[in-house]
Amino acid sequence: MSPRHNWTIFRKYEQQNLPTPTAIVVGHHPAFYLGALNVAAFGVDDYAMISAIMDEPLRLTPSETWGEDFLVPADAEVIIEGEIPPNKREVEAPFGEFPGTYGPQRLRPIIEVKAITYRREAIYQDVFVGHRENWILGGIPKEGSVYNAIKGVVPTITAIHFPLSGSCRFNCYISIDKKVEGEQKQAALMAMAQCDFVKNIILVDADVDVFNEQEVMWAVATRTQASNDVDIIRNIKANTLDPSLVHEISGSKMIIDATRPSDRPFASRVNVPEEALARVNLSEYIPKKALEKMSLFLDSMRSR
Amino acid sequence: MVRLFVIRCPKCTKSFEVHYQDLRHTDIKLHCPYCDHWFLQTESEEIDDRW
Repeated sequence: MSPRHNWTIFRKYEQQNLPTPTAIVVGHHPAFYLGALNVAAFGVDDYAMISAIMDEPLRLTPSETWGEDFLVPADAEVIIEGEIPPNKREVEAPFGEFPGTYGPQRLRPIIEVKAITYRREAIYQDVFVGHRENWILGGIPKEGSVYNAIKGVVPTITAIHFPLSGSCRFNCYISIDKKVEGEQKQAALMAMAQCDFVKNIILVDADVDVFNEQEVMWAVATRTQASNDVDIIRNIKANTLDPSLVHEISGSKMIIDATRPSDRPFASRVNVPEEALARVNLSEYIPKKALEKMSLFLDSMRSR
Repeated sequence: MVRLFVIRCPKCTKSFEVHYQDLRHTDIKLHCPYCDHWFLQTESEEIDDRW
């Protein structure tokens, strides 16, 4: 249990020496998980967030254990209801975790199961932790949540991406149509504040496609001087599953500013002008048969 | 992740990682994820807790 929303709820119950009611949803519409993995502020209704992602109201039903006091998804494949007893920890793990590493055996809260409900012929949906399925499922909602948070403060943001290379959590690429110096750094700090998973941020200009890692690295190669453009933020809350941490929960984060300076001239990117491209007639350079083969190949690629 | 130690299971001799702060130098039995054996750290022949 990482120190975020579930942990906050659990701590409130535990401080009063009360068990924490909990329900585990196993198997639902994919949009359910995209909504559940959002990084909204604590207190935001997750069921409402899920409904928004699903584009329809999430159907709920009273739980077996707590009735109307604790509604659970009506269309889940399996619901496991239980209580987390206060001040009780047991040995668990090692388990595979999202970074692609094993979390160590340690002491963790447990759940005392009270009821299990399921659909007829229920399907037990698992997730392949530490692999693409797990990464993308968590990455997409974070991109949306963090983009919206930044947009409210830095409206010149144009795109955000959590690439697979950072398990769709640790690395974050942000593009910005920079108008004044410093707003790119403000966007980076917003991303870190919004989502503690974010560890390494690369800031690029709007001409760089954040969904194309080669372009992002090209911007780092050509628009960054480490002595001026890299900031390290130390002793900030990180993710407990980051295997490189040397403290239980806090660590360091890095911002690489790969945007062009806006307050001085800077080398332009090579570019073939549209009018020059339009003047090129391929049939003047490529034999007709080869050109036909190319067209067939391109058509087949487009139809995939 | 903070400090780990690696311990060898006395039954199946396979090694696994354990959270140092939670479990090193305690009398809590560890659980081998390979052979399901529960054991005390004193029973293990090899513990690597370098830091």
